[in-house]
Amino acid sequence: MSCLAERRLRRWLFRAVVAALFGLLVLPLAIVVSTAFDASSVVTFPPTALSTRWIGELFRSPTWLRSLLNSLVVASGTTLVSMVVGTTAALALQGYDGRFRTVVVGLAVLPLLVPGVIIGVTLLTFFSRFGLQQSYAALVLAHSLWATPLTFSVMQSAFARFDWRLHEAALDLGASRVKAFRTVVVPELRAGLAVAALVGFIVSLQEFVMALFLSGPDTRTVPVEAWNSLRQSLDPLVSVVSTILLAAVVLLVVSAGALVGLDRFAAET
Amino acid sequence: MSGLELDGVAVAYGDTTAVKDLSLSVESGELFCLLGPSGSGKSTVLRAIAGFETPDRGRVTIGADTVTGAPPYDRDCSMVFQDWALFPQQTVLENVAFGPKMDGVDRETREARAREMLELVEMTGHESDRPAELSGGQKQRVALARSLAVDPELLLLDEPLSNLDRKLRETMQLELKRIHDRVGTTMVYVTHDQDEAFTLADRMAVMDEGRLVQVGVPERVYDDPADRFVESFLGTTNFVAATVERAGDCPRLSTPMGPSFEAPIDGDGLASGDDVTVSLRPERLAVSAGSAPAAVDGGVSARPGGSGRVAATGAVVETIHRGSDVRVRLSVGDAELFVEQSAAAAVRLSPGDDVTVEFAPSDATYFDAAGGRCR
Amino acid sequence: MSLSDARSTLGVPSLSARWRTVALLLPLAALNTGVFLVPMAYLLRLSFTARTPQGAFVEGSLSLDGYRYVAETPLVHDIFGFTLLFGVLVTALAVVVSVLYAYAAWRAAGGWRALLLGGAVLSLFTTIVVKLFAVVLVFSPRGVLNDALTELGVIASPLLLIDNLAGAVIAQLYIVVPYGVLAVYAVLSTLDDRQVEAALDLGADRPRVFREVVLPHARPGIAVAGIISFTWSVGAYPAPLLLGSGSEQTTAILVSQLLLTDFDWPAAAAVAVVTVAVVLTTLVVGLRRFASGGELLG
Repeated sequence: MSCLAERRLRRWLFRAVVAALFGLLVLPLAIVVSTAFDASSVVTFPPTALSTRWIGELFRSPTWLRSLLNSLVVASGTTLVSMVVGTTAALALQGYDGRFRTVVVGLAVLPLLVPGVIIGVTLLTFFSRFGLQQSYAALVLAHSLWATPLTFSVMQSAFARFDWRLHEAALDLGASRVKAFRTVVVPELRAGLAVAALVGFIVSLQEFVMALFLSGPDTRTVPVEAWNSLRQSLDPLVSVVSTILLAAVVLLVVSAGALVGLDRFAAET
Repeated sequence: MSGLELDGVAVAYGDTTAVKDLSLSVESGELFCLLGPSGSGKSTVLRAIAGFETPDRGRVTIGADTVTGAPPYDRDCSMVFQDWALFPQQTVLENVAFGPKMDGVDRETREARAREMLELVEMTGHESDRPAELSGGQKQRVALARSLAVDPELLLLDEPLSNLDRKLRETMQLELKRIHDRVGTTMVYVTHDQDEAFTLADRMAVMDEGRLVQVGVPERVYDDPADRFVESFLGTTNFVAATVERAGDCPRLSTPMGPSFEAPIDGDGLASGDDVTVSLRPERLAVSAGSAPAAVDGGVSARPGGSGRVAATGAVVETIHRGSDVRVRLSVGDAELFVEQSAAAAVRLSPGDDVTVEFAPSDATYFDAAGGRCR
Repeated sequence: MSLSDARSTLGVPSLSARWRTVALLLPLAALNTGVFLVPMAYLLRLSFTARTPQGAFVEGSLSLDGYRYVAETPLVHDIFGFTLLFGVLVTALAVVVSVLYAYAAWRAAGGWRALLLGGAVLSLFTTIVVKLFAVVLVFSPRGVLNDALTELGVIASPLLLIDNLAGAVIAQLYIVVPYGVLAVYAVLSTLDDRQVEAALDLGADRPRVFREVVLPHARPGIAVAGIISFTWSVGAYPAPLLLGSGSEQTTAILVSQLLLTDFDWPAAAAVAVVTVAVVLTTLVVGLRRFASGGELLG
């Protein structure tokens, strides 16, 4: 039955290719993590001996600590801005179909399609007219350009899934619009909101290209610091920092998965 | 040669068994219905035949080929899905020509075949339409044409009409019968609608909880049910709880209706005091106005063998008009019965009227406490 | 029928509803205008200023210096040429990989699907820098891959996979593939299983089902994946910079260099404007070809 054998072979070949792709996707990251725990100061794989000395080193380095703080500040700011903008926009579009919606969505998504370097460079020149270059504000605004389409998308799905008749029932029973929104809609949407916020946070945390142009020695974020370090040599501290960033992402993926199911999350972003 | 044969097929999902040890034989050219409530496993059987489920045990034979374990595309059967599953990006013609295309038939030939099929289902003129532009009934026809285009040995239909409204469903049922007569393919049709099964089936099987309960010609299954489940699933009936008064051959049963009578069953295994369910189909009950029909007194005018008629007195509780007929609910003794009257009947009953209900014990069917049939 | 249904079927929202929508859209409008549209307009304006050796540009001037630079410098042409080629190459590979991976994830059951998607999402949200770092670790001549292959005896001398075109392409793939995977998967997840079954039933084996039913359905997702890959590869910066050699220069690298090293603002702006123009044109053409843009954006 060569037909059956052929089918089997095809199936296993397919699986092998996919496994290889998965490995290629994930293993390099795992390798980075392992180098963070390598005792030697030369970055190699497999690690020679396990040690946590580099983690200690990181937390003793003022530049790195500074960059961690900067990243957190900027990410929090971005989350705030992108959540406000994304949620209001998603709310505004509820019940609209067709051309109006397409146009608004298009406008919201447009910044994503312009290369990061160009936005970075543009904002650098633009903000420098106002003396805003290298400030937190510049970074937060730039990051929000990229985070907003994502928070918008997540909130859009959340709103679409929500049964608006509940809202109408509340209005019917005497609640004001704002009150109805707060007491009926928000609790239902908590999961969606949480995911959107997480997404906004992580996008900012890991954004590199615009930050490269818009940050200065005081406001440098972690990716920029890592890049500078990387251009000189392979530094184990970069591994540690990478591990921290990866841990943050894993946290996001796991919590998003728990909140809305990975399937939906993947489909929405 | 039979069109389809299932031999001891069992299908399990995890730790639930959807189909238990099912054996079935369908004649070539037959229109066979699988009838059962939701969850009875009938769709699973169909999917096992089609190849979407692999049985844990048993064998499936289509025509002369044993196909158990073969993938769906290697089987000589074709399925019409409940929601039609037409390919939205293809035109009607492309949809119908899909099967032959998979067989490697050249474009000209397969399009000709597709047109032939569309003519059969009376959908000529819609070749360039897309599925989204069609109504439910039209999609139904296209799905049928698509499945027939591959000239299958066996056609499987998974409740294809359940998404249509009643009038359309009835029209399509007759259409299906017409097409079946024209084409002569063996068909296995799954439904939960008993009327549909009766309209279509040459033979039918009733399924319950993964088992085949009874197989036969629809009239036989209706008149001679295997157990209480079949009796209650087909049509409507009055179930009256009776108790054995006197055991033995032709046991005497007492009922809450009032009178006791002898049931024409052999009474094996029935002891005095046992519960028996008596099923009285409304069409077997004769109702007359007034509390005393001529020639019968309140008990049984019994003749040997229990062939006499039983009469009981009662009153009308409610009449429900349903257009062409009227359902009349009666209170007879301590029991509640109903009958159906034509809305055009000469004598119309009203709530409160006194009535007499009559039936012959041989017209009723009897079931023991476990639901099994007493003969 | 709910109020919102009524709103959309009637097509004419009430006046107060209109105002509410406008008010709710203000934040987005403010952000996009203030931080995107206006600066981009400024960039455009900058591209029309005169170049000067004494830093930046000549205030208030109007000149085609920048564009003349673009038109007349062969190096710039080469760079544009390479960038487009790079874009096409990466896009072709990214689309193939994305479709394959997304299809596998869609076919997979429960846990495996979560694993595959999880991997994609993890990669998506990982900083570019970390990914590039990882690529260096794995693909460099003394990196993990070469070590493993040499040890297994598959190759004699290490494969040169960084500091060249291969390196730049590999690195860029790591950036765009996760987006591609999710874009294709999002569309695939809307495919009705029944259609696949119908195709199987009608005689199509799995590869044919893929060709006849899955791919046509996934087209919008594939288009999105292609667009993302192309636009980001045309604007690629860190990947070719770190993992390419000097001959792998993209327009983004050029812009950065012109601006920050040469202080040649008009030229930088001109190059940037042309790049954006190319990207947007591709977008429009791509959307036209793959039918409704609304379908993609909705």
